[in-house]
Amino acid sequence: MKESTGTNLCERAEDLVTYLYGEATAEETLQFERHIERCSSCRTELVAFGDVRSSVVEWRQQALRSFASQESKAAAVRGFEPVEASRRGRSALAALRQFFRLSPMWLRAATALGGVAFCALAALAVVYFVQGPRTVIVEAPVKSGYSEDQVKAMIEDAQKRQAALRASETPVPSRESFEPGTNREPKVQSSIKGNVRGAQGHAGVARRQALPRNLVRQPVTEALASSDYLPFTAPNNEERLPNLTDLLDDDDN
Amino acid sequence: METVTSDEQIVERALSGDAEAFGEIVRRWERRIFALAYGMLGREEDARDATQETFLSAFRNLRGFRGEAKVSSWLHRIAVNQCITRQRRSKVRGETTLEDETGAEAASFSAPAHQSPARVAESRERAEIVRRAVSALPTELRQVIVMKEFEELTFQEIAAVLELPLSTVKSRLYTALRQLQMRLRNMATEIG
Repeated sequence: MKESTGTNLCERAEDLVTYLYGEATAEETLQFERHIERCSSCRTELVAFGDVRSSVVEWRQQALRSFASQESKAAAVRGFEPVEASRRGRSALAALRQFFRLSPMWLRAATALGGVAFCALAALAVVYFVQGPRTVIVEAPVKSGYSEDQVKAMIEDAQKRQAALRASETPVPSRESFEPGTNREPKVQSSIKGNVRGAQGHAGVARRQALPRNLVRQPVTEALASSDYLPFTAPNNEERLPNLTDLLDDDDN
Repeated sequence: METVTSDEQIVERALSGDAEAFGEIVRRWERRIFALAYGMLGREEDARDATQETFLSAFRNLRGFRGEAKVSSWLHRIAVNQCITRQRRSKVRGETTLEDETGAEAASFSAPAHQSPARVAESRERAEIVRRAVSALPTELRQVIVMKEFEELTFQEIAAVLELPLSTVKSRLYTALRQLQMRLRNMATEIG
């Protein structure tokens, strides 16, 4: 006998539960029944454990009845036939679906979200395959504002213009006679003519006044550099500016 | 006469590609696995979740089933592990313990129609007391009593599921019954 939880316990506790649950052999049953005739502790516990078992069984029956009733309610809502009748036709997928139907809200929401994401991806895949794969040309990154081809074209263009100038042997207009920012020849000519006709000391001042303010502050070379023209070359769409001597000759005439 | 197909044969069919075979396993065992989960967790919603997770886990690991144990033992082991995992998670999250819950859960029980309202109320009250008493047991005792009373597994089957010696299962069951007896008596005294 051993002491535990304030009650005298018999050494044959394991035999007691084996007997209680009906798992003892015939011989074990006979031996234990002989034992309980003289062991009051085992007799008392046998009765008490029987009461505990009946309480637990009652709880179990309620719980399982609740489960069964909810199952039948779910089947009724779905419009299914009784479980026995529909048993043969159900697949593994249907059985899993049934479990998902009984799942909590968070699991349903997660499944729905996953389904939407899957559909979206599937739709994108269909669109991709219907339209066919496109050849995507990725151009090399351009370091400056011009592409490589543009720069080459500009260089070739400049070279051609220089070659053309050399071939015609026409004097290149001097920097002083070239007035950037004004592409209109008559204005340039009149400005230059006026300068020539006016007082010699005021020629430079008058020319500065004719130039835009931002160019006046800068030296002419900087103004040229800031413009789109290449240095020492004239754009193709402009006429070559006349020399000062040519203008003087014209006045004389 | 229709022959009864064993669980092991059904699993073999499922492994060989029969789509309906696993559904048969689910139908055979869902009620008992739910009972086990309910006994372990004490809350219907948790029990349903654990039951689903048990079968999903079994479905995923079907190829890992080597037939060394019975299918029922295998399923029960998965279910017990699911329940223990859920209990641990609940403790970590600091959720309400089963012992602290009121009788709201018991109110969802359905009673036979032939019982009087007073009898139904009394039955519910008793069931709630038992539920709380079982829930208050340590896990190792609770799983044994639930397997025995809810699942009606034999000692040998419980030992196989829990991978314990037979004598350990019996002694745990004895201890569980004793603790339940004391708790039920105390609770009845408190209420009375």
